[in-house]
Amino acid sequence: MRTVEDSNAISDASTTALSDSAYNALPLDEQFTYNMIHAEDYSQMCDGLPVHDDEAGRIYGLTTDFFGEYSWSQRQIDFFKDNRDSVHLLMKRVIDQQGSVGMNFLYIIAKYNAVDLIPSLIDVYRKDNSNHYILTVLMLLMKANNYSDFVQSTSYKKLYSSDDSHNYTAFLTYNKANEDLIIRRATNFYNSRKQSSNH
Amino acid sequence: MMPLATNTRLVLSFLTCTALLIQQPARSPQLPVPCAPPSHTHPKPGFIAVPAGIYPIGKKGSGRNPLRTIHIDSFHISIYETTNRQFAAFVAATRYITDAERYRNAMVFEPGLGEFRWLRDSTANWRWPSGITRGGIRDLMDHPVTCISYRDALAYCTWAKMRLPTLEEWEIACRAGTRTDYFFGSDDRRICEYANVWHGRDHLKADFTDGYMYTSPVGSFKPNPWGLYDMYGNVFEFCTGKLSPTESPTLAHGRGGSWWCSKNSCHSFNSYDIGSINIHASFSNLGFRVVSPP
Repeated sequence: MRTVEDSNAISDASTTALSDSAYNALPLDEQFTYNMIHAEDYSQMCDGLPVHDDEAGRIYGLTTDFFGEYSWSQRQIDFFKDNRDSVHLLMKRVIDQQGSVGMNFLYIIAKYNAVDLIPSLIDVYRKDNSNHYILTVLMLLMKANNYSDFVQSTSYKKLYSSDDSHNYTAFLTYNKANEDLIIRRATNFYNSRKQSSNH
Repeated sequence: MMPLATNTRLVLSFLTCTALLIQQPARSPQLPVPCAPPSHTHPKPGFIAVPAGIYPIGKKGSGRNPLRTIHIDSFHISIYETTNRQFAAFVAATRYITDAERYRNAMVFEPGLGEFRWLRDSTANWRWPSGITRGGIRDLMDHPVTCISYRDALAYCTWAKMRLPTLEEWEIACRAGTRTDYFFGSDDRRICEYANVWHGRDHLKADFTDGYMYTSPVGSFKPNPWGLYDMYGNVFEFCTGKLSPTESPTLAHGRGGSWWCSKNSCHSFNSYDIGSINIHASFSNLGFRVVSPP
Protein backbone atom coordinates (compact mmCIF):
# COMPACT_ATOMS: atom_id res chain seq x y z
CA MET A 1 0.00 0.00 0.00
CA ARG A 2 1.33 3.42 -0.84
CA THR A 3 0.34 6.93 -0.20
CA VAL A 4 -0.26 9.38 -2.98
CA GLU A 5 1.94 12.40 -2.56
CA ASP A 6 0.26 15.71 -2.60
CA SER A 7 2.63 17.02 -5.25
CA ASN A 8 0.00 19.15 -6.88
CA ALA A 9 -0.90 21.31 -3.97
CA ILE A 10 -0.22 24.84 -5.00
CA SER A 11 -1.42 26.89 -2.17
CA ASP A 12 -3.24 26.99 1.10
CA ALA A 13 -5.96 24.37 0.81
CA SER A 14 -8.79 26.13 2.46
CA THR A 15 -10.49 29.40 2.38
CA THR A 16 -9.86 31.23 5.57
CA ALA A 17 -12.24 32.88 7.89
CA LEU A 18 -12.12 34.59 11.21
CA SER A 19 -13.07 32.35 14.10
CA ASP A 20 -16.56 32.86 15.42
CA SER A 21 -15.24 34.57 18.52
CA ALA A 22 -13.01 36.96 16.57
CA TYR A 23 -15.74 37.65 14.05
CA ASN A 24 -18.36 38.29 16.67
CA ALA A 25 -16.03 40.62 18.56
CA LEU A 26 -15.78 43.00 15.61
CA PRO A 27 -17.88 46.13 15.75
CA LEU A 28 -20.60 46.20 13.14
CA ASP A 29 -18.86 48.54 10.74
CA GLU A 30 -15.74 46.35 10.78
CA GLN A 31 -17.83 43.22 10.22
CA PHE A 32 -19.33 45.06 7.29
CA THR A 33 -15.91 45.91 5.88
CA TYR A 34 -14.64 42.34 6.39
CA ASN A 35 -17.67 40.84 4.73
CA MET A 36 -17.66 43.22 1.82
CA ILE A 37 -14.10 42.49 0.79
CA HIS A 38 -13.51 38.92 2.03
CA ALA A 39 -15.71 36.01 0.94
CA GLU A 40 -15.29 32.95 3.15
CA ASP A 41 -16.64 30.11 0.96
CA TYR A 42 -15.83 28.71 -2.48
CA SER A 43 -17.91 29.57 -5.51
CA GLN A 44 -19.30 26.70 -7.53
CA MET A 45 -18.03 25.83 -11.01
CA CYS A 46 -20.66 27.73 -12.90
CA ASP A 47 -20.99 30.85 -10.78
CA GLY A 48 -19.34 32.83 -13.53
CA LEU A 49 -21.55 31.36 -16.25
CA PRO A 50 -22.94 32.30 -18.54
CA VAL A 51 -20.44 35.03 -19.25
CA HIS A 52 -22.03 38.38 -19.90
CA ASP A 53 -20.66 39.61 -23.21
CA ASP A 54 -20.77 43.19 -24.52
CA GLU A 55 -21.64 44.72 -21.16
CA ALA A 56 -21.19 48.20 -22.65
CA GLY A 57 -23.91 47.65 -25.22
CA ARG A 58 -26.36 45.76 -23.02
CA ILE A 59 -28.42 46.16 -19.88
CA TYR A 60 -28.63 42.68 -18.37
CA GLY A 61 -31.60 41.56 -16.33
CA LEU A 62 -29.43 40.04 -13.60
CA THR A 63 -26.11 40.95 -12.05
CA THR A 64 -23.01 38.91 -12.69
CA ASP A 65 -20.37 37.03 -10.72
CA PHE A 66 -18.01 39.30 -8.84
CA PHE A 67 -16.00 37.35 -6.23
CA GLY A 68 -14.54 34.88 -8.72
CA GLU A 69 -13.60 31.60 -7.02
CA TYR A 70 -15.01 32.67 -3.65
CA SER A 71 -18.48 33.37 -2.32
CA TRP A 72 -20.01 34.74 0.83
CA SER A 73 -20.59 32.15 3.56
CA GLN A 74 -23.90 31.65 5.32
CA ARG A 75 -22.88 33.76 8.32
CA GLN A 76 -21.89 36.55 5.98
CA ILE A 77 -25.22 36.32 4.17
CA ASP A 78 -26.91 36.31 7.56
CA PHE A 79 -25.03 39.45 8.54
CA PHE A 80 -26.40 41.39 5.60
CA LYS A 81 -29.89 40.11 6.30
CA ASP A 82 -29.89 40.53 10.07
CA ASN A 83 -28.39 44.02 10.00
CA ARG A 84 -30.35 45.28 7.04
CA ASP A 85 -30.92 48.88 8.13
CA SER A 86 -27.37 49.41 9.41
CA VAL A 87 -25.93 47.85 6.26
CA HIS A 88 -28.02 50.16 4.13
CA LEU A 89 -26.77 53.19 6.04
CA LEU A 90 -23.15 52.08 5.77
CA MET A 91 -23.51 51.41 2.04
CA LYS A 92 -25.12 54.80 1.47
CA ARG A 93 -22.28 56.51 3.31
CA VAL A 94 -19.65 54.73 1.22
CA ILE A 95 -21.45 55.27 -2.09
CA ASP A 96 -21.98 58.95 -1.40
CA GLN A 97 -18.35 59.40 -0.35
CA GLN A 98 -16.87 57.43 -3.21
CA GLY A 99 -19.24 58.44 -5.95
CA SER A 100 -19.10 54.90 -7.26
CA VAL A 101 -20.65 51.57 -6.46
CA GLY A 102 -19.04 48.12 -6.69
CA MET A 103 -20.68 44.90 -7.80
CA ASN A 104 -20.61 43.63 -4.22
CA PHE A 105 -22.69 46.60 -3.16
CA LEU A 106 -25.04 46.19 -6.10
CA TYR A 107 -25.60 42.54 -5.21
CA ILE A 108 -26.49 43.40 -1.61
CA ILE A 109 -28.73 46.28 -2.64
CA ALA A 110 -30.74 44.02 -4.91
CA LYS A 111 -30.69 40.99 -2.62
CA TYR A 112 -31.87 42.85 0.45
CA ASN A 113 -34.23 45.27 -1.18
CA ALA A 114 -32.39 48.51 -0.36
CA VAL A 115 -34.98 50.71 -2.02
CA ASP A 116 -33.83 53.68 0.02
CA LEU A 117 -30.56 53.69 -1.94
CA ILE A 118 -32.25 54.33 -5.29
CA PRO A 119 -31.46 58.08 -5.28
CA SER A 120 -27.80 57.41 -4.49
CA LEU A 121 -27.61 54.84 -7.31
CA ILE A 122 -29.14 57.24 -9.79
CA ASP A 123 -26.78 60.03 -8.68
CA VAL A 124 -23.78 57.77 -9.20
CA TYR A 125 -25.05 56.60 -12.59
CA ARG A 126 -25.62 60.15 -13.79
CA LYS A 127 -22.01 61.03 -13.00
CA ASP A 128 -20.66 57.97 -14.79
CA ASN A 129 -23.03 55.85 -16.83
CA SER A 130 -20.50 53.16 -17.73
CA ASN A 131 -21.74 50.61 -15.18
CA HIS A 132 -25.05 49.43 -16.64
CA TYR A 133 -25.49 46.99 -13.76
CA ILE A 134 -26.73 49.98 -11.78
CA LEU A 135 -29.69 50.01 -14.17
CA THR A 136 -29.97 46.24 -13.66
CA VAL A 137 -30.30 46.74 -9.92
CA LEU A 138 -32.88 49.49 -10.32
CA MET A 139 -34.95 47.04 -12.35
CA LEU A 140 -34.41 44.25 -9.82
CA LEU A 141 -35.68 46.50 -7.04
CA MET A 142 -38.81 47.36 -9.02
CA LYS A 143 -39.30 43.67 -9.79
CA ALA A 144 -38.84 42.60 -6.17
CA ASN A 145 -41.44 45.10 -5.07
CA ASN A 146 -43.85 44.18 -7.85
CA TYR A 147 -44.00 47.77 -9.10
CA SER A 148 -46.88 47.60 -11.55
CA ASP A 149 -45.59 50.12 -14.10
CA PHE A 150 -42.49 47.96 -14.50
CA VAL A 151 -44.01 44.51 -14.07
CA GLN A 152 -46.48 45.25 -16.88
CA SER A 153 -43.78 46.59 -19.19
CA THR A 154 -42.24 45.04 -22.28
CA SER A 155 -38.85 45.25 -20.59
CA TYR A 156 -40.03 43.08 -17.72
CA LYS A 157 -41.49 40.49 -20.08
CA LYS A 158 -38.27 40.33 -22.04
CA LEU A 159 -36.04 40.03 -19.00
CA TYR A 160 -37.96 38.09 -16.42
CA SER A 161 -41.25 36.58 -17.42
CA SER A 162 -40.69 34.05 -20.19
CA ASP A 163 -40.29 30.40 -19.22
CA ASP A 164 -38.22 29.90 -22.36
CA SER A 165 -35.76 32.66 -21.65
CA HIS A 166 -32.33 31.98 -20.28
CA ASN A 167 -32.64 34.46 -17.48
CA TYR A 168 -28.96 35.01 -16.88
CA THR A 169 -28.35 36.00 -20.48
CA ALA A 170 -31.49 38.09 -21.01
CA PHE A 171 -30.73 41.74 -21.71
CA LEU A 172 -32.08 45.00 -23.10
CA THR A 173 -30.10 46.84 -25.72
CA TYR A 174 -28.34 49.79 -24.18
CA ASN A 175 -29.52 53.09 -25.61
CA LYS A 176 -30.50 56.47 -24.22
CA ALA A 177 -34.21 55.73 -24.45
CA ASN A 178 -33.94 52.54 -22.39
CA GLU A 179 -31.61 54.24 -19.94
CA ASP A 180 -33.97 57.17 -19.42
CA LEU A 181 -36.98 54.90 -19.13
CA ILE A 182 -35.39 52.77 -16.40
CA ILE A 183 -34.30 55.82 -14.41
CA ARG A 184 -37.68 57.50 -14.77
CA ARG A 185 -39.53 54.38 -13.65
CA ALA A 186 -37.16 53.85 -10.72
CA THR A 187 -37.59 57.46 -9.64
CA ASN A 188 -41.36 57.19 -9.81
CA PHE A 189 -41.20 53.91 -7.90
CA TYR A 190 -39.05 55.44 -5.18
CA ASN A 191 -41.27 58.52 -4.89
CA SER A 192 -44.41 56.44 -4.68
CA ARG A 193 -42.85 54.36 -1.87
CA LYS A 194 -41.79 57.49 -0.04
CA GLN A 195 -45.23 59.05 -0.35
CA SER A 196 -46.96 55.94 0.93
CA SER A 197 -44.58 55.70 3.89
CA ASN A 198 -45.30 59.34 4.77
CA HIS A 199 -49.01 58.70 4.99
CA MET B 1 -5.98 34.43 4.84
CA MET B 2 -7.09 33.92 1.28
CA PRO B 3 -6.11 36.63 -1.13
CA LEU B 4 -8.71 39.28 -1.33
CA ALA B 5 -10.71 39.30 -4.50
CA THR B 6 -8.86 41.16 -7.18
CA ASN B 7 -11.67 41.51 -9.65
CA THR B 8 -11.53 44.95 -11.09
CA ARG B 9 -15.21 45.36 -10.48
CA LEU B 10 -14.48 45.50 -6.81
CA VAL B 11 -13.44 48.81 -5.57
CA LEU B 12 -11.81 48.28 -2.23
CA SER B 13 -11.25 50.64 0.56
CA PHE B 14 -11.65 51.05 4.24
CA LEU B 15 -14.72 52.22 5.90
CA THR B 16 -13.47 55.24 7.71
CA CYS B 17 -13.40 57.46 4.68
CA THR B 18 -12.25 55.39 1.82
CA ALA B 19 -14.59 52.71 0.61
CA LEU B 20 -15.27 49.06 -0.16
CA LEU B 21 -16.85 49.17 -3.36
CA ILE B 22 -15.85 45.61 -4.47
CA GLN B 23 -12.61 12.40 -13.04
CA GLN B 24 -9.03 3.02 -14.74
CA PRO B 25 -12.18 2.69 -14.94
CA ALA B 26 -13.03 -0.98 -14.64
CA ARG B 27 -16.42 -0.69 -16.26
CA SER B 28 -19.37 -2.13 -14.45
CA PRO B 29 -20.83 -5.09 -16.38
CA GLN B 30 -24.35 -3.66 -16.46
CA LEU B 31 -23.35 -0.44 -18.18
CA PRO B 32 -24.40 0.07 -21.82
CA VAL B 33 -21.98 -0.46 -24.68
CA PRO B 34 -20.99 2.58 -26.72
CA CYS B 35 -22.25 2.94 -30.28
CA ALA B 36 -19.15 3.41 -32.37
CA PRO B 37 -15.59 4.51 -31.93
CA PRO B 38 -14.50 7.46 -34.01
CA SER B 39 -11.49 5.74 -35.50
CA HIS B 40 -10.33 2.40 -36.91
CA THR B 41 -7.95 1.90 -34.06
CA HIS B 42 -8.78 -0.65 -31.37
CA PRO B 43 -9.48 1.38 -28.31
CA LYS B 44 -8.83 0.17 -24.82
CA PRO B 45 -11.84 -1.34 -23.05
CA GLY B 46 -13.90 1.45 -21.55
CA PHE B 47 -12.27 4.08 -23.72
CA ILE B 48 -12.71 5.50 -27.19
CA ALA B 49 -9.77 6.56 -29.31
CA VAL B 50 -9.78 10.05 -30.73
CA PRO B 51 -7.41 10.28 -33.68
CA ALA B 52 -4.82 13.01 -34.05
CA GLY B 53 -5.89 15.82 -36.29
CA ILE B 54 -7.04 19.39 -36.64
CA TYR B 55 -10.35 20.10 -34.96
CA PRO B 56 -12.55 23.19 -34.71
CA ILE B 57 -13.44 24.18 -31.13
CA GLY B 58 -14.97 27.15 -29.34
CA LYS B 59 -17.85 29.42 -30.13
CA LYS B 60 -18.00 32.53 -32.22
CA GLY B 61 -18.08 35.61 -30.00
CA SER B 62 -17.01 33.80 -26.85
CA GLY B 63 -14.37 35.60 -24.83
CA ARG B 64 -13.41 32.53 -22.83
CA ASN B 65 -13.52 29.99 -25.63
CA PRO B 66 -13.31 31.71 -29.03
CA LEU B 67 -13.93 29.82 -32.26
CA ARG B 68 -10.64 28.41 -33.57
CA THR B 69 -8.99 25.27 -34.94
CA ILE B 70 -6.35 23.33 -33.04
CA HIS B 71 -4.12 20.33 -33.69
CA ILE B 72 -4.10 17.54 -31.12
CA ASP B 73 -2.34 14.20 -30.82
CA SER B 74 -4.46 11.07 -30.51
CA PHE B 75 -5.83 10.21 -27.09
CA HIS B 76 -8.07 7.64 -25.41
CA ILE B 77 -10.87 9.05 -23.27
CA SER B 78 -13.07 7.18 -20.81
CA ILE B 79 -16.59 6.41 -21.97
CA TYR B 80 -17.92 7.10 -18.48
CA GLU B 81 -17.31 9.48 -15.67
CA THR B 82 -15.22 8.07 -12.83
CA THR B 83 -17.50 6.30 -10.37
CA ASN B 84 -17.68 6.02 -6.63
CA ARG B 85 -16.62 2.34 -7.02
CA GLN B 86 -13.47 3.38 -8.87
CA PHE B 87 -12.65 6.12 -6.42
CA ALA B 88 -13.24 3.76 -3.51
CA ALA B 89 -10.65 1.37 -5.00
CA PHE B 90 -8.19 4.24 -5.12
CA VAL B 91 -8.81 5.24 -1.53
CA ALA B 92 -8.63 1.63 -0.36
CA ALA B 93 -5.26 1.22 -2.07
CA THR B 94 -3.72 4.49 -0.93
CA ARG B 95 -5.55 5.68 2.18
CA TYR B 96 -5.85 8.96 0.39
CA ILE B 97 -7.67 11.70 2.23
CA THR B 98 -9.62 14.15 0.11
CA ASP B 99 -9.67 17.87 0.59
CA ALA B 100 -13.24 17.75 1.87
CA GLU B 101 -12.30 15.11 4.47
CA ARG B 102 -9.28 17.10 5.52
CA TYR B 103 -10.82 20.54 5.69
CA ARG B 104 -14.49 19.64 6.24
CA ASN B 105 -15.51 22.33 3.81
CA ALA B 106 -17.53 20.55 1.12
CA MET B 107 -20.40 22.46 -0.39
CA VAL B 108 -23.73 20.70 -0.80
CA PHE B 109 -27.15 21.48 -2.19
CA GLU B 110 -30.65 20.97 -0.95
CA PRO B 111 -33.90 22.18 -2.56
CA GLY B 112 -34.99 25.57 -1.29
CA LEU B 113 -31.75 27.42 -1.78
CA GLY B 114 -31.63 30.52 -3.89
CA GLU B 115 -29.96 30.40 -7.28
CA PHE B 116 -26.20 29.72 -7.04
CA ARG B 117 -26.42 29.21 -3.25
CA TRP B 118 -24.80 26.13 -1.68
CA LEU B 119 -24.34 25.05 1.93
CA ARG B 120 -21.05 24.28 3.60
CA ASP B 121 -21.42 20.87 5.26
CA SER B 122 -18.64 19.62 7.52
CA THR B 123 -19.98 16.05 7.23
CA ALA B 124 -19.97 15.98 3.42
CA ASN B 125 -17.24 14.26 1.39
CA TRP B 126 -17.08 11.68 -1.43
CA ARG B 127 -18.49 9.00 0.92
CA TRP B 128 -21.36 11.25 1.96
CA PRO B 129 -21.77 13.52 -1.06
CA SER B 130 -24.64 15.55 0.31
CA GLY B 131 -23.74 15.23 3.99
CA ILE B 132 -24.36 12.40 6.45
CA THR B 133 -28.00 13.29 6.99
CA ARG B 134 -28.75 12.82 3.29
CA GLY B 135 -27.19 9.36 2.98
CA GLY B 136 -23.98 7.72 1.79
CA ILE B 137 -22.80 6.10 -1.44
CA ARG B 138 -23.57 2.45 -0.59
CA ASP B 139 -26.31 2.35 -3.20
CA LEU B 140 -24.58 4.85 -5.48
CA MET B 141 -21.45 2.93 -6.48
CA ASP B 142 -22.13 3.39 -10.23
CA HIS B 143 -22.76 7.08 -9.80
CA PRO B 144 -19.96 9.52 -10.54
CA VAL B 145 -17.77 10.36 -7.57
CA THR B 146 -18.43 13.86 -6.27
CA CYS B 147 -17.35 16.15 -3.49
CA ILE B 148 -13.80 15.82 -4.71
CA SER B 149 -11.51 18.68 -5.61
CA TYR B 150 -9.26 19.17 -8.63
CA ARG B 151 -6.36 18.16 -6.38
CA ASP B 152 -8.19 14.94 -5.49
CA ALA B 153 -8.88 14.19 -9.17
CA LEU B 154 -5.20 14.63 -9.98
CA ALA B 155 -4.26 12.30 -7.13
CA TYR B 156 -6.61 9.62 -8.50
CA CYS B 157 -5.08 10.01 -11.96
CA THR B 158 -1.58 9.60 -10.57
CA TRP B 159 -2.57 6.36 -8.86
CA ALA B 160 -4.52 5.06 -11.87
CA LYS B 161 -1.71 6.00 -14.28
CA MET B 162 -4.18 8.16 -16.13
CA ARG B 163 -4.61 11.88 -16.60
CA LEU B 164 -7.40 14.38 -16.90
CA PRO B 165 -8.35 15.53 -20.41
CA THR B 166 -7.22 18.96 -21.43
CA LEU B 167 -9.91 21.56 -21.96
CA GLU B 168 -9.45 21.13 -25.71
CA GLU B 169 -9.47 17.31 -25.66
CA TRP B 170 -12.68 17.31 -23.65
CA GLU B 171 -14.39 19.57 -26.17
CA ILE B 172 -13.22 17.58 -29.20
CA ALA B 173 -14.48 14.36 -27.59
CA CYS B 174 -17.74 16.02 -26.60
CA ARG B 175 -18.40 17.59 -29.99
CA ALA B 176 -17.77 14.25 -31.74
CA GLY B 177 -17.32 16.01 -35.02
CA THR B 178 -20.20 18.46 -34.60
CA ARG B 179 -19.96 22.23 -34.73
CA THR B 180 -23.29 23.10 -33.10
CA ASP B 181 -23.74 24.23 -29.51
CA TYR B 182 -24.73 20.67 -28.56
CA PHE B 183 -23.56 17.40 -30.12
CA PHE B 184 -27.23 16.70 -30.87
CA GLY B 185 -27.81 19.99 -32.68
CA SER B 186 -28.92 23.45 -31.67
CA ASP B 187 -32.19 22.80 -29.83
CA ASP B 188 -31.46 22.61 -26.12
CA ARG B 189 -34.88 21.08 -25.44
CA ARG B 190 -33.37 17.71 -26.45
CA ILE B 191 -31.00 17.87 -23.47
CA CYS B 192 -33.36 15.61 -21.50
CA GLU B 193 -32.46 12.70 -23.82
CA TYR B 194 -28.77 13.04 -23.18
CA ALA B 195 -28.18 14.46 -19.75
CA ASN B 196 -29.08 14.57 -16.10
CA VAL B 197 -29.68 18.27 -15.56
CA TRP B 198 -32.02 20.44 -13.50
CA HIS B 199 -35.34 21.09 -15.27
CA GLY B 200 -36.98 23.30 -12.64
CA ARG B 201 -37.31 27.00 -13.26
CA ASP B 202 -35.36 27.64 -10.05
CA HIS B 203 -33.88 25.53 -7.24
CA LEU B 204 -36.53 26.22 -4.64
CA LYS B 205 -38.28 22.88 -5.21
CA ALA B 206 -36.82 19.42 -5.80
CA ASP B 207 -36.72 18.44 -9.47
CA PHE B 208 -37.08 14.78 -10.50
CA THR B 209 -38.18 15.51 -14.07
CA ASP B 210 -35.50 13.24 -15.56
CA GLY B 211 -35.71 10.74 -12.71
CA TYR B 212 -32.86 12.15 -10.64
CA MET B 213 -32.46 15.16 -8.40
CA TYR B 214 -28.77 14.68 -7.69
CA THR B 215 -26.41 12.38 -9.68
CA SER B 216 -27.56 9.48 -11.87
CA PRO B 217 -25.70 6.20 -12.53
CA VAL B 218 -23.15 6.80 -15.27
CA GLY B 219 -24.44 5.87 -18.71
CA SER B 220 -28.11 6.39 -17.82
CA PHE B 221 -28.77 8.70 -20.75
CA LYS B 222 -28.04 8.53 -24.48
CA PRO B 223 -24.36 8.85 -25.49
CA ASN B 224 -22.89 11.33 -27.90
CA PRO B 225 -22.19 10.23 -31.51
CA TRP B 226 -18.83 8.77 -30.46
CA GLY B 227 -20.35 6.74 -27.62
CA LEU B 228 -19.36 8.93 -24.68
CA TYR B 229 -21.91 9.15 -21.89
CA ASP B 230 -22.77 12.06 -19.64
CA MET B 231 -20.70 14.61 -21.51
CA TYR B 232 -23.42 17.02 -20.50
CA GLY B 233 -24.85 17.07 -17.01
CA ASN B 234 -24.46 14.63 -14.12
CA VAL B 235 -21.19 16.18 -12.92
CA PHE B 236 -18.92 18.93 -14.07
CA GLU B 237 -15.74 17.25 -15.32
CA PHE B 238 -12.37 18.62 -14.29
CA CYS B 239 -9.96 19.33 -17.14
CA THR B 240 -6.40 20.55 -17.20
CA GLY B 241 -5.44 23.81 -18.82
CA LYS B 242 -5.72 27.53 -18.29
CA LEU B 243 -7.77 30.18 -19.99
CA SER B 244 -4.90 32.63 -19.88
CA PRO B 245 -1.23 32.52 -18.94
CA THR B 246 -1.79 34.98 -16.14
CA GLU B 247 -4.67 33.10 -14.56
CA SER B 248 -4.54 32.43 -10.84
CA PRO B 249 -2.69 29.19 -9.98
CA THR B 250 -5.50 28.39 -7.57
CA LEU B 251 -8.04 28.22 -10.38
CA ALA B 252 -9.12 24.97 -12.07
CA HIS B 253 -11.66 24.41 -14.85
CA GLY B 254 -14.41 21.99 -15.64
CA ARG B 255 -16.84 21.36 -18.45
CA GLY B 256 -20.21 19.94 -19.41
CA GLY B 257 -22.47 21.21 -16.65
CA SER B 258 -24.01 19.11 -13.92
CA TRP B 259 -27.25 17.82 -12.37
CA TRP B 260 -27.58 21.21 -10.70
CA CYS B 261 -27.44 23.23 -13.92
CA SER B 262 -30.62 24.55 -15.47
CA LYS B 263 -31.30 26.56 -18.56
CA ASN B 264 -32.51 29.40 -16.38
CA SER B 265 -29.36 29.57 -14.31
CA CYS B 266 -25.93 28.76 -15.74
CA HIS B 267 -27.05 26.75 -18.80
CA SER B 268 -23.56 25.27 -18.95
CA PHE B 269 -24.54 21.84 -20.34
CA ASN B 270 -23.13 22.56 -23.79
CA SER B 271 -20.00 22.05 -25.88
CA TYR B 272 -18.45 25.48 -25.41
CA ASP B 273 -18.77 26.80 -21.85
CA ILE B 274 -15.88 26.49 -19.44
CA GLY B 275 -16.45 26.68 -15.70
CA SER B 276 -13.94 27.83 -13.11
CA ILE B 277 -13.35 26.86 -9.50
CA ASN B 278 -10.74 26.86 -6.78
CA ILE B 279 -8.43 23.82 -7.01
CA HIS B 280 -9.36 22.77 -3.49
CA ALA B 281 -13.11 23.32 -3.69
CA SER B 282 -15.32 20.25 -3.26
CA PHE B 283 -18.92 20.40 -4.44
CA SER B 284 -21.48 17.65 -4.84
CA ASN B 285 -21.72 18.40 -8.56
CA LEU B 286 -17.99 18.09 -9.33
CA GLY B 287 -16.42 14.95 -10.79
CA PHE B 288 -14.15 13.86 -13.64
CA ARG B 289 -13.39 11.35 -16.37
CA VAL B 290 -9.93 10.17 -17.34
CA VAL B 291 -7.70 9.97 -20.39
CA SER B 292 -5.50 6.90 -20.79
CA PRO B 293 -1.90 7.09 -21.93
CA PRO B 294 -1.22 5.79 -25.45
